[in-house]
Amino acid sequence: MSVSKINMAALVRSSFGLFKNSILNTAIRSLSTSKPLNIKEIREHKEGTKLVVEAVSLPSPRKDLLVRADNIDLPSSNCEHESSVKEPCYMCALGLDVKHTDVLILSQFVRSDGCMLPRRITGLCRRQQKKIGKMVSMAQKAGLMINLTPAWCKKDPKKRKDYKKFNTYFDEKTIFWKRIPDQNDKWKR
Amino acid sequence: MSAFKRVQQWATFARTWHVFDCKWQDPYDSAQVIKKYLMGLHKPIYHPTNDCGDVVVCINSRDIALRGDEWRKRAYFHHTGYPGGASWTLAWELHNKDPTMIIRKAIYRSMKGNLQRRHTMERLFIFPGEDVPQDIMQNVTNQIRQLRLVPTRLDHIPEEEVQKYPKVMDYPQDYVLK
Amino acid sequence: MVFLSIANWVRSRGPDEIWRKRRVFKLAAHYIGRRRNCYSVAVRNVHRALVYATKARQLKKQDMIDLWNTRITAACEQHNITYYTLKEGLDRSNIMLDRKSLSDLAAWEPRTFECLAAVAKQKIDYDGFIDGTDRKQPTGVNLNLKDVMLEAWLKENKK
Repeated sequence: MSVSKINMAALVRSSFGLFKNSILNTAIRSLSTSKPLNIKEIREHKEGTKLVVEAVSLPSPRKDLLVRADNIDLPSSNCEHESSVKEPCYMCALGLDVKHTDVLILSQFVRSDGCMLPRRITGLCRRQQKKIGKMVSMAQKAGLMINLTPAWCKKDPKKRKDYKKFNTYFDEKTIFWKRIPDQNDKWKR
Repeated sequence: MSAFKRVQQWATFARTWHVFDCKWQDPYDSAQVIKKYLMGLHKPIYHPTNDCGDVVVCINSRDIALRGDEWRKRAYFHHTGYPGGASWTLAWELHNKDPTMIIRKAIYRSMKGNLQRRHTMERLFIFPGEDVPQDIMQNVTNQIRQLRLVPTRLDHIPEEEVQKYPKVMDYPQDYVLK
Repeated sequence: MVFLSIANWVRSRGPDEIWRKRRVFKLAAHYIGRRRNCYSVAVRNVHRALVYATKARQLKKQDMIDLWNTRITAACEQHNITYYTLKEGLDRSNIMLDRKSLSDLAAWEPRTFECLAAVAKQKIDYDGFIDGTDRKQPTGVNLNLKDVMLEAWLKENKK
């Protein structure tokens, strides 16, 4: 049952992929995002005169280190009443108090150029995706993840322009505020 | 007064020198703490009229951190007294001109405005960097605890520690690593 | 012939005018200038001073309470405890010391106060009472995020 489903999805996907390839004829794109292939890594190497491009399916490098809420007995798990309503996403289930300075956690949600991964890849709920996305940008602005930035970026925060070169910290409470109140507003009438 | 009592009196009212590292600290939050040490509010013998305040040496004031967009939102007002003499300086401009001014003003404003305030401020030393004159540094006997953790940059953490750190997110099956 | 007595009776405010004014002048004795010599000025200032004195009787108590609070808070900080926790702990262990005696102990008998703080802390510990006021300040302590993660990771690997 499930196999046939996957095959159907694959068919649809591959036809869509063919259509896309006719428009955007790039090497990587023709190989990527096709479901039945399960591609993890693209390797290019030369054998004599031939250029061999092969896609190797690899186990995730994070498999051994992965932390999930099911494996930990959390002291105050509020799963009992929530489980009947909806399964919380893995970040909600862990219940970690992540700050924007926890770069070791935030860097897991980020591409090598420092861009936040989309929700279909991170698999977070909307709220967590928003929260972590904001915290990633906070960390970038504070210059805490400068090795994960595009090549054209000024890596050293001290070399940035004007107010950007001074240290800045952020308050995580402001993430879901509609409007951050201005300091000078309290003097206005 | 016996000799012991006299020495006890000296020891009670002797000034202690504290050092405070401003690196990545919010000046307005840390002013509330530094104020206590300057005015002597941290001693159980405190009285508004007795002179039991301590000396505080602030170092690394160039590396203070402001919250959010306050570097470009917070303005410092000055008026020369002449018509049209008003001027507003943004926090980052002020910090460019004098890296000790923001923290000095923050501490000054955190105290109640009376005649004693000027004298209390005399007991505050602020240095933009880490190099403090020897004659000041030799008096220092205590360090004030910082309010905020100094964040660690990702490129300062060793590579293998980043690799070994427990992971929360795992890539989906068909993800191409970039 | 001039009759002045009726006019003087109208002006006079009674037989004890001197004594009445004398009462006010006595209160204004330490003033300077017309405020002490001229009745109409003196009486205004004396009335104002009496109002201040009435209000100050309350303010003095309030000032002393503020001072005791400052002193106790300072002493509590030395022993790494908040004022709220100290009071809660002492109340729970039936040590009914008021602010005045606590601040006196803090200033004059610091060792006694240290013991009181230890008693309060221990009692709070036994009762499992959590001080909500402590959580407001991060106080530069590591948030232990990494340790939580590591523990979980170690547990997982053991299984």
